[in-house]
Amino acid sequence: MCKINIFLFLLLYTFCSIASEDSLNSEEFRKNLSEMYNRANKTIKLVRQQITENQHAPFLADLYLQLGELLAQKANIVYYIKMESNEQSSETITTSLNNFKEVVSNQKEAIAIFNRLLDEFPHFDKKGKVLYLLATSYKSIDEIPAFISTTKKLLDEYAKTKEAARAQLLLGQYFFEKKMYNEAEKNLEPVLKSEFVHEKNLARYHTGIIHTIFERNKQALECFEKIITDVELKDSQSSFEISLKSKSVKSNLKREALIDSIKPFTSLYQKDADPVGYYSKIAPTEILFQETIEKLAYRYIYLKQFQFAIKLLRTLSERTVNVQQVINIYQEVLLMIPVKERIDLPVEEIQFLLERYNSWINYYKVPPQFTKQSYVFFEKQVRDLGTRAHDFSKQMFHSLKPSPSKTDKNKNLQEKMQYYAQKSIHYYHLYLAYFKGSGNAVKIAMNLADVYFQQEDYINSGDFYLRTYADEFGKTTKQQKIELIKNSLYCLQKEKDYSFYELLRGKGLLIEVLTIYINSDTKLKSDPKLNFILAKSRYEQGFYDIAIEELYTFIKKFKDSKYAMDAANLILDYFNTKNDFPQLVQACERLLTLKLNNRPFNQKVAGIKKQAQMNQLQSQVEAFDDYDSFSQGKTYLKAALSSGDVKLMSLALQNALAQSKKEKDIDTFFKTASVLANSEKTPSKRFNILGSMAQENVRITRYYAAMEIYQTLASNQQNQEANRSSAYTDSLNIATALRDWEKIHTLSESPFWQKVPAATKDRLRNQLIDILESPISLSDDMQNMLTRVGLTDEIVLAMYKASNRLNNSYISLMQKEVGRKCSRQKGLPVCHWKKVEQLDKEVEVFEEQLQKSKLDLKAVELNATHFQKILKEFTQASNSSDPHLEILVSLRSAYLYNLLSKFLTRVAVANPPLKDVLASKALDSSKTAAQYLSRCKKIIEVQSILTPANKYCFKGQNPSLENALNYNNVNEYPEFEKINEENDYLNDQKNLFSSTNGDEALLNIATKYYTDGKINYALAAAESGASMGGKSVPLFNAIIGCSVAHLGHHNEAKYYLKNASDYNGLKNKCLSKLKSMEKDIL
Amino acid sequence: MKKKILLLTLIIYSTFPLAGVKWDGTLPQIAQDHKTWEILLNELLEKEMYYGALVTAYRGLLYYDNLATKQKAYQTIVTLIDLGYPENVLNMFVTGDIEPADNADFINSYNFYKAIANESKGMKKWADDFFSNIDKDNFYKYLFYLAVQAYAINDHPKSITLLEKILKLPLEKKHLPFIKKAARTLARIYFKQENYLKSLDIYETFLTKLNPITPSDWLEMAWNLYYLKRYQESLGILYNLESQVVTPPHNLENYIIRALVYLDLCATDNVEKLINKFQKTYDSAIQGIINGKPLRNHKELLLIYSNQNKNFYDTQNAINNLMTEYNTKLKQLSKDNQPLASFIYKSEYMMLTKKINFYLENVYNASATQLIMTAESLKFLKFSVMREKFNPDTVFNNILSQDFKNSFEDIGNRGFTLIWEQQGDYWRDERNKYFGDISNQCVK
Repeated sequence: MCKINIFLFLLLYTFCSIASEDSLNSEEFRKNLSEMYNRANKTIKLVRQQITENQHAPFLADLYLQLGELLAQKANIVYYIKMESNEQSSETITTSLNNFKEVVSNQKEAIAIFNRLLDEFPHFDKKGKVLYLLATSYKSIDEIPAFISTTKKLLDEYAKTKEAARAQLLLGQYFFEKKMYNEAEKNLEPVLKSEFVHEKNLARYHTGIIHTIFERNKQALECFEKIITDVELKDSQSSFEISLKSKSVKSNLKREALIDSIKPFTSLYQKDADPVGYYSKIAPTEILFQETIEKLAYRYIYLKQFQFAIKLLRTLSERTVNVQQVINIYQEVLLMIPVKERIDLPVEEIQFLLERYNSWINYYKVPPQFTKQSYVFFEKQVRDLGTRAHDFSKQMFHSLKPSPSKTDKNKNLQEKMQYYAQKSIHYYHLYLAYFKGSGNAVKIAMNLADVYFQQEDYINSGDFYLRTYADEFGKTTKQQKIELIKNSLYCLQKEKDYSFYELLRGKGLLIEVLTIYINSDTKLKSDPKLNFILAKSRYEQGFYDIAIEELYTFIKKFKDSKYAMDAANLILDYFNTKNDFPQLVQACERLLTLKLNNRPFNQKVAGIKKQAQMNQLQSQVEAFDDYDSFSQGKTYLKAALSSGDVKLMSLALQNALAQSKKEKDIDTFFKTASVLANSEKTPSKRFNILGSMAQENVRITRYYAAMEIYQTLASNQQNQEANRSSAYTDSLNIATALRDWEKIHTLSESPFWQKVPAATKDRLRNQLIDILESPISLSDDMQNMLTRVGLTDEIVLAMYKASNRLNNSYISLMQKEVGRKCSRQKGLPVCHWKKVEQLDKEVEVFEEQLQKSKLDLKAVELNATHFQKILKEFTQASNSSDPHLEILVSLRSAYLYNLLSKFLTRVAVANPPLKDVLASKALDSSKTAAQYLSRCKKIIEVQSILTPANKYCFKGQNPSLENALNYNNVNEYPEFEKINEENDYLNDQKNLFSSTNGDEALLNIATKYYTDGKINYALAAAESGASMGGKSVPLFNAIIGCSVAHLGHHNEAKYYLKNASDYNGLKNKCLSKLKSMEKDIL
Repeated sequence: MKKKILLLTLIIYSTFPLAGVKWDGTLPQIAQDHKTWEILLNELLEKEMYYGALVTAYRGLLYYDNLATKQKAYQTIVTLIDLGYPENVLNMFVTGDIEPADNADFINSYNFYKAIANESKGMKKWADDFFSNIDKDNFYKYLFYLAVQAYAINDHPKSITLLEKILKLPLEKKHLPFIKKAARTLARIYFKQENYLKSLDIYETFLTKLNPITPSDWLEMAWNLYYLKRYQESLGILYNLESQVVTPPHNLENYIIRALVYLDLCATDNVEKLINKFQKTYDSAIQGIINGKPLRNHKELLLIYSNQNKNFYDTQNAINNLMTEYNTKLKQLSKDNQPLASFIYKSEYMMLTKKINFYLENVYNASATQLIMTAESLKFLKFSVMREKFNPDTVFNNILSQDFKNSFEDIGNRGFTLIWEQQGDYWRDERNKYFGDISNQCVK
């Protein structure tokens, strides 16, 4: 049986079981075929005529060749015409030979012509081509043995020609048709290496098909890819071929390869396929690419690989302007995909589809039934996708193990749950955007809220519940509303790590929901928890003004609720965080007024109030423009002065005192203290404050400022008498320490003088005695003070000794007093001096008596008796504990012995027999005199005393009483040098002011005073320092010693210097100075 | 019971489309003749109804198969792009399947846009194919494309060279929108290079002199002035930008620049005013957000610009412009053209008003977030400015804060010394330069 196989490879396209788009419509195709048939007939006729008329022409062989070719071509055309007219399948074609007689007859005629050519034109240069055409014709009418023998002949005789390659190809095709694939491959293989582009690619094509049959997908794809990307293969190289499928008369090998590559591609890439990427790279034209991806899409649907299918369709749709076509494709495709797999489609694809649908429905006149159908279709699609994804995510959510389990299974489940939840969220949003008014919108909005909740996105969940409540997506029932608002409230109360915006929005939504909820039921209006949450939310949202008042109201209304305390704490926190201390104080007061039933809390509030006041003050202080962090005391004082609040003022003053002390700001300190004192209404307290101020002045050596305060205190009749007296004494003590005799004198005129303690007076008296005994001239104030301090024995003695420096009145007074005293009590030292006064007269008498005496033994005896008497009386006078007097008595005794010695020497000369004895006695007397002189020196040395008698002692002279009492030179008492106490030594004062111990600072300032010649200040400061005791006493003594030395208090200076350390070399310096002073004075 | 189930089943299935039934819509009668369409398109262009023209051109692609119609549609689209049509029309070229003819400019443009469209879809091969059909040496759009490519990879010198080459080309007046783009890109590159003076020059002498104004140009000019420490001018520009001339959406960035200026100058009072102004403008929306009111109650949120909402603004802009053209110009069309125009305008409006719903949820949320964050930033700024004024670090710093260059000096140098100061918080000199009246208030 003869079978017809024309262009077998066309039939091979049936391997691609994919529907294709018609490129030409059938009518046009048929018309073209008819035209071809007519033209072929006409041409054949012409060629026959030409052959007949040119039997001897050199190109006769060529004409036969053309005729054979035309007949073969005609046979092909006839074949297609028959096929088209029968609309038959290829199977029918091969079995219905009767219909194809014309085809066979044409082919047979062609064969006859080709054989004739071979026989009659042995030298025809196109014999190779003739053989090829002959083989083709044999094959087309299924005369296989002839076909094979012709082909082999061609291959033997014309190897390496194009015709040989074609023949080889034809053989391969033949075995392929016979399903003898190994044979086919063997025959095709040489052509694969051929230099002829088209033949080589045809061989590739068939080889690719064979690989596909054997599922050698990679090799198959390689074969097809080589064809598609072969740059040498042009469309023009394709043979004139007719395609039944494409209804075209020109086949395109690259197109065929593209389409046939789909099967191996989809088999090879079942996961991670990128068909768009792959084909966009290799497809030779955009149109072919588009055709390929469409077929690919269907192939993937067939393989149930929907995600790839949809991606391909999307690419196709984007490239297709016809929206109507697009939605119809999707209508068909979506229904082909089961919904459980449809939900895996990217949401973007569905949105894209809805956009296309939106365009279509608006751009075209769509019949009502399609309008309705399409709306229902797409609404259902999106709804199904959303709800199914939602259901899946819920199922997985419930399957998750409750505790955080790290097993792979749980993890996978978690990931899948997330995946479906996100899908449903996106689909729901898509739904609400496009189908907002639909009957299902409310349900979808609630679903969306639910899935948000499952995703722990509580704010969006709450928001959607609230929006659904507000009928944004459609009308809701009363019962639904209750549930919706409760759900929203539940969501929005959930806490989570939110962004700033989310927090703010979430809180806002909570406020809205709570307000709605509370107002929905009167019972809820009395619910403390809800009311508190609302107030707290407003507070947290920053609506402080409203919230604070709301919180107060809440506390008042729900005083016994456990939230009352929380509310109160919020209020306190607010003002505290804001550092609004006046308001905080006020808040504390308001809260205390509300009397919460919680004692510890109320105590805490009271404490906060106190602290707030303190902070309020601090804030006020810092708010001053001239606020200086280094002189806060000053600002505190300023705050106190400007404050209208008494409590705050008092607090400010206390702080000003403490702070100025810390900052060494003396001025502010005293100003503050003054303000404090002035503002103090109780006299005793005011007295204490001012007293403290005075003490502080003394401490920093502002002696006159202190005295002024004390005097003010003493003169203020509002103060108690004892306090006034005490202040007066303090003032006097300061003047005494300063040796300010003028001041002392002035003070002594006060009525309080009488009440001055004995010790104070003793101190003054001692100072006066020291002055009287020193070579210092006496001021009136000093002399006036002599009587004020009381004419004690010591004072009178000192006055006696200094009588030549006293005013007459005081001399008289002294003499009178001496007389009075000595008449009563002869043993007083001054009385001894008076005795010496008398004895001196007796010595004069005794001396005269010796001058005039006879030089015999009797006279010796008489004078010796007299001598003994005077000497005895001097000795008695010297028992007064007055070294000055002892010196004088020693000198007097020496003088007496010398007188006696001289007298005995004279008698010895006059009485030779007694010469030795008397001379010996004279010598003894002389020695005794010398001993007395030594004694006087020893007294000076031991007592370290300076007296006018000293120089006589050293010279061995016997001074008159007057000379023994009076210094040769007397120094003026140094003038008192006052300082500007507030400015001159400010830094040293500050150091003193701030120091706690004061030793060092006081020593420093005392030293400075001394160095600067401010002797009285140095003395007062040093005495103050020494009075504190401790290790520094010898240091202070050095300053005291030097200072009093400077004043002329010689003996006192010697005393202190003796007990001083050599601080800064002062001791030695001052001692030397004293010595030189002694020389000058004596 | 059985009846009920049957009824229910019938109801359910009656709503399902019958599988395989193709939904066929037809063209309205008035749209069926492509010649009518072409006449309308020409008239829309003539009457400068550009938004309508674009929509109509696209319908041509959709409704008619013949190549001549498609070419006409694409020619119109290219013309509108050249006229400065602001929205993205690249997708229209994805479907393009014509062999362009007509003039070289159109052929180049079509191939260029096809290439770009393919490139954006990852189809490099097609892109290269289309690029290969372009006169690469002289086609200005391609040169601009290369400049943008270079800019994207920070090859600024190359980008600048290309842009300068474009700007020297003998382009015609109709190319003004393109020239603006090129100039703007050049200005932005200079800005990125911190060459503020050069960047400013482009804005000052060209971009901001054109009508209608492009708010972003003013904003970018203000940035340049800010970096040049010409604060007064920067503020002047921003004040002007806040005027009613500027159509929404409004960019909150101008608040940021003003804030930065005030921060540099420690201008606490001005910050206060800025915040007041911001609050006055947006208080209602802010209160709504923080009080949990529905965002959709606050339409003003739709007027705040945010990069992520571009699709929304484009759609909104298209709706607005279509409506304006429809309301003001439709009656000016010839009577024969009015029915088709009316159908196209209305159907496009219907489509767009539905389409815009896809973006609304995101727009409200993004704008609300941006608004709140800006409000919060400004609140912070208030304190930052005050803190800068009293910045403890500057107490011991002997170097005085660098004073800004006084704009008045510039005027002097250019031989213009007469200044007419005007009332209000900004004034304008005779050369239409705007100045904010401000001085450095940082404590030295």
